[in-house]
Amino acid sequence: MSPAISEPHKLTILVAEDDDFLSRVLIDKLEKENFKTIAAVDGEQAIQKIKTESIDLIILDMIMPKKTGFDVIDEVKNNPASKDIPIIILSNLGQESDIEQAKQKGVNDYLVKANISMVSVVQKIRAILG
Amino acid sequence: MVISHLKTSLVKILSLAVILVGSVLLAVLLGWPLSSEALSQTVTMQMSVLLLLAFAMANFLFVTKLLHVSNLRNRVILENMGEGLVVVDTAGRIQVINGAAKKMLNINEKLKAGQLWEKLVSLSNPDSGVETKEIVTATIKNRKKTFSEAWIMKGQTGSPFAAAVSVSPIVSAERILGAIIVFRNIEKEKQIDRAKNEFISLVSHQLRTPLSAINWYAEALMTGDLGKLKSEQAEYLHRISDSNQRMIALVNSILEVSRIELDTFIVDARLTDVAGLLDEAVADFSYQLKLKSISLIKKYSSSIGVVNMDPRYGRMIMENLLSNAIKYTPSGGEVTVAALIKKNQLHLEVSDTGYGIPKEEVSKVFTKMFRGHNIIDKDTDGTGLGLYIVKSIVDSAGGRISFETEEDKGTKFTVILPVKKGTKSATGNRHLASAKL
Repeated sequence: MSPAISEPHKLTILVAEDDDFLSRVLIDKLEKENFKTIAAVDGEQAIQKIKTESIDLIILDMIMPKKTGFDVIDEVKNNPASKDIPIIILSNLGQESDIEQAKQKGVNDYLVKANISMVSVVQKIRAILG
Repeated sequence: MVISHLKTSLVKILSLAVILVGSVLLAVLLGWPLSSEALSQTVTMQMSVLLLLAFAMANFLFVTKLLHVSNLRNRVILENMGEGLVVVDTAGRIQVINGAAKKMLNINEKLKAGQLWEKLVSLSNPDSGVETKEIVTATIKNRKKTFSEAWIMKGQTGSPFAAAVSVSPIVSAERILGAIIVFRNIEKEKQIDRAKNEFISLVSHQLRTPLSAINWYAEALMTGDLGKLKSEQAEYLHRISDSNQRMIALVNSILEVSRIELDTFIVDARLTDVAGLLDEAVADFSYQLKLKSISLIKKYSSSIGVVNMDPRYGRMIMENLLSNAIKYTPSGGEVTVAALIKKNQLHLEVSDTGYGIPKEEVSKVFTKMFRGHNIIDKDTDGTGLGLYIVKSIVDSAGGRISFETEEDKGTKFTVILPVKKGTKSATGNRHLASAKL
């Protein structure tokens, strides 16, 4: 949870989202809300960024190339260095089985993109980061 | 089979006994020193005994043949069964095993006499991973049938497979004789279930993603993040956003209907605070209630408390009923949510002071895509799927739904669901279509 050195007042959010349209608009919104953002376009890149960057919260899509959201959660939770980073799933997979499985793996929240506004996403982030 | 075998032996013994007694009687009669007067009587008696013996012999042969045919028929039936069948005695030793069971358990050689079932087969629960070896012993001990739709079964060799297994005790004259185990490989059904789930996931993801993009871009413009809009631009943008919301609602409803019809909706009963569930459902509509200045009245009985039910389907029922009540009630009206528990049944009521349903259309209310002719021009949002979804869920949960309505006065929907007062969490996965709470 250590803030970035160059911008000590900004919390860093990793946005792991393969859809460029969605990623762009969400990153714009988060930056307007004074967060620092890092983008990852697939699961492998997300894992790489988590290992190399200082990240305060992960926004994670479930269906992504190379590694799925579930793979990313496993990597994050099995690594002592990253296991405490909060994860918000932001996916259009909304079946109970997916939600249950992700929650069992320890994610903080599971949001369905089509059913939630960006303002609400920001509220959820602030509620977790305090 | 055990019973049949006992009957066969008994009949054979009785028939032999008749012959034996007859033979002894004949020998005694033949060897008896008789006077000449009694001779003719003796001959008559001997003839009678011979006839009796001939009859007994014929009877014995007939019964033996009959039993042989009957046994053969039973064997042929067992060997041609699609399900695996195993009969064990009270010690768990295999007495009968049919061809399908041998094939599924990968048994090629002849079984040794007294082979124990538990040594031959491993059964485990896929959810808990716990071995359920003792299940046959428990069935015999408790004299209660055990059934599972998805245990993992494995013979001494071969691959494990998902199986529907039933273990029934064999009881005769209140004496336990053993157990019958019937099982069936359900790997194919599992694969179909997985395919259905994948299909719904894919459709859900692919349809919702572009709709999410429209939603968020419209939101970014409407919030003024990219500069102030002219009033006409803002109005057009709101229309785009509203239409998109309707499309999302339609896609969500179609997905729910697909899940119900494909039976991929899993019921997971757990301890649920009914008042909390109702409050959450109501809170989701606070914006719409405020927008139309509709008063929301809550009438919860103190009896409701905590019950064992699946909160997600409870919520789906309430969301659909509340959405309709608010949508089809004019501004300034009233919507009432009432709940009570009576005789292990949860009664949920949603009533409104809305447009009501025309008399001539009440029979169509729960059909797919139904929309009353009196509301089509008042509201364009409805998909006509909400009440169909509610009815499907209620029916599958073993409940009932009814309604009272009067045009331009309002409608009251009553849902009655069987529930258990909750003291302990009873979770478990069941398909909606087979769920009984």
